[in-house]
Amino acid sequence: MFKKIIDTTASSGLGDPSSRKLFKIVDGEYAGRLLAIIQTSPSEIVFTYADGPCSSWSAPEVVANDAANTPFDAVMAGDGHVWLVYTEQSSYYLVSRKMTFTDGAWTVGNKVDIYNGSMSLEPSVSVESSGKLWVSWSRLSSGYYDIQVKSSTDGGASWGSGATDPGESIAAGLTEGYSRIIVATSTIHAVYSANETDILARSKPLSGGAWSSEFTIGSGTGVDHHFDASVAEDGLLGVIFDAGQLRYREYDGSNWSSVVTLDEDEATWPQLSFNGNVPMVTYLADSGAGQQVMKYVHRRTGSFSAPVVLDPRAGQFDSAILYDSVSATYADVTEAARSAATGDVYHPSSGCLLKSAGDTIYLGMERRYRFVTFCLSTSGAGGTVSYAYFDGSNWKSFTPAGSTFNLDEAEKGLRLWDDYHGIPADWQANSINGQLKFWVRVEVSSAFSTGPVGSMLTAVSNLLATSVRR
Amino acid sequence: MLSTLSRITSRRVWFVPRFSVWGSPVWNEVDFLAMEEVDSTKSILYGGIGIGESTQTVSFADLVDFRGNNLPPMITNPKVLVRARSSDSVFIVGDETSTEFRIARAPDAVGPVVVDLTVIEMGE
Repeated sequence: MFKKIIDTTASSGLGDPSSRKLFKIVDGEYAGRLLAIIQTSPSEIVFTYADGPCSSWSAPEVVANDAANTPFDAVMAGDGHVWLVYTEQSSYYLVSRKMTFTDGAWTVGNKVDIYNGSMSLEPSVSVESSGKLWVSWSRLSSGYYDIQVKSSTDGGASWGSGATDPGESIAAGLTEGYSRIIVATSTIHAVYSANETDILARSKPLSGGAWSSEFTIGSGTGVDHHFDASVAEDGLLGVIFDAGQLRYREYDGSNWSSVVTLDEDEATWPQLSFNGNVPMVTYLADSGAGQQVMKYVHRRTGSFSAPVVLDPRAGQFDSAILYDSVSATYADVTEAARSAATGDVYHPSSGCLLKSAGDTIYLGMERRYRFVTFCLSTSGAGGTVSYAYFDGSNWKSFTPAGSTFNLDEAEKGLRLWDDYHGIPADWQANSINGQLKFWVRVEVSSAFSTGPVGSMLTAVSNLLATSVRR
Repeated sequence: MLSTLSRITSRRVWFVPRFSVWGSPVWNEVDFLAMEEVDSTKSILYGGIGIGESTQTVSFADLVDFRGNNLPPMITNPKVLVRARSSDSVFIVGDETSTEFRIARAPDAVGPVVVDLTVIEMGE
C-alpha cells in the first residue's frame, strides 16, 4: 500500500540512506503505532503518526523549525521516547531534541547543543537498552571532515563534557565522510565512508575502553553516503554499500565475512534490516530511462535471493496493448513497453501509439495501480485523449490526479491517483484482447496530427529516496 | 440421495485442543517511507508490504483429538474451525483438502499462537 503523507520542499526530506525516519511502538497500549519524522521544508522537521492499516496519518506537528537543509537522524528507545539529532540552520552546530512519549503522543522538548565548535553535518544517533545515547557526525575542520563520536548518559540533557567538547575523533582529514553509529549487544560500532573510496569500521566495548583499529570493509569508486549498517538479534553486524555494485559484508564480533555482491548493478539508498538473524536489503535500482524502482533481496534460505521488485504494482506493466481503430486490430506491445529501446512502442498499422479518434492504449496489471510513466521518442501533437477504468459494467472516465496528459511531452510521470487509497473501489478487472487485467484505457478523443511513438511505458514512479523501518 | 451409511459417516467432528500455530502469512512486513518527485513536487508516501509466505501445512493424520486418538488421514470435505485462546488472530489459509490444510497466525503475533481446532467432516 502507498499512502501519501505530505509534500516536502527540503533537499533531503528523508535524510541519508543510513538514517532512521520511521519507527514503531513495539508493545503496550499503542503497540503497532508508526511514527514518521520528515523534513518538510529547508528549515522544518515534523512528525506524524498512524495506526494500522496506516491509511490516515495525524496532522504534522513541528519538531524543529530551525534545522539546516541537510540530513538529520533519529532513534526510538524501547519505551517510545525519540531523540532527533540535526544541524542547526543559523550556526550549523549539532543539536538534539527529545520527543517524550506519553499516553500515545509525543511532546517535543527543548533544544540541546551537542557540539558548538564548528560546522557539523550528517549525524547518526543510536541508543543502548540502558538509555545511553551515542551520536556520530562529520565535523568540518580546516576544509576537511573528521568523524566524531559523543555520548549522553542523562537522556540527551547533555552530551560528553559539554557543548564545546568535540568528543572522540575516529577518523580525520577526509575529503568526504559519512558515518553510522550502531549499538550491538555489548559493542558500539561506527561504520563510515571515507573520501568516496572506502567503507570502514571501528568498534569498542559498551563497557568502555579504546576504539579498535580501523578496518576496511570495502573499497571502490563512488563509495559515499549510499551505505547502511544494522545489527541482528544475535549481535552480528551487517554492512551494505554501493561501489558500482551492491555489496554486503558481516562481522560476528571476531571475524569479517567475505564480500558478497547482492546486485551487479548500481544501487542507491541501500537499507539493511534483520528479521531475527536473517538479513534483508532494500534499495533503489535503475529500471531504465532513469526510473528508480525499489527492490529487495534476503538471505532467508541460507544464500541471498535474486533481486525482486518490492511493489509489483510500481513496476513494469503485466500487459500493454494498442488498438488501432482504422484497421480495427490489437497489437500486444508488452515487451516493447518494458524495454528502454528507443521508439519501439507503436501499432504496426499506424506506426505510432495513437493517431486517429478511437485509437487506444490499454495498460494492464494483475492488481490495481496508480502511476504511469510515459517515455516517448516522438511527442504527440494536435490530439487529445481521455482516461478511463472499467467499473464492472462500463468504462468510467476520470481525470488523473496529475491532470490529463495528451502524450505531448517526451517524458511524463503521471499520477492517476495520489496513492493506493485513492484508487476507486469500483475498478474491476475485465478482458481486453483475451487478457483479464485491471486496465487503464487511454483513448484518442480528437485525432493527432503527429502521433506519439513510445520508448517505454511503466507503472514506475520517480522515487528519489526511501527510509525503511528497521 | 444420501445412503444410510453416508448419513452415518458424514459430519464427523473432532476437537483438537492446544494446537500450536507458527505459520505466518508473510515472512516479513516491510514498512517504509518513499520520496517521490512528480512535476517538480516532492511527496513523502508511506508503504507497507508483506513479502514471502511461511504458512504451516498440517496433515489431518498428524492431529490428535482430545481423547488422544489420531485423526484419520483422509476426511471428506473437511472444514477446520479455530477457537482462540489468546488475543492473537489465527486463520485458515485457502481451502482445506481431504488430507491437509494450511494455517497461519497474524503477522503481529510475537511467536507461536496456541488455539483449539474443531475439524468437521461435511461429507459428500
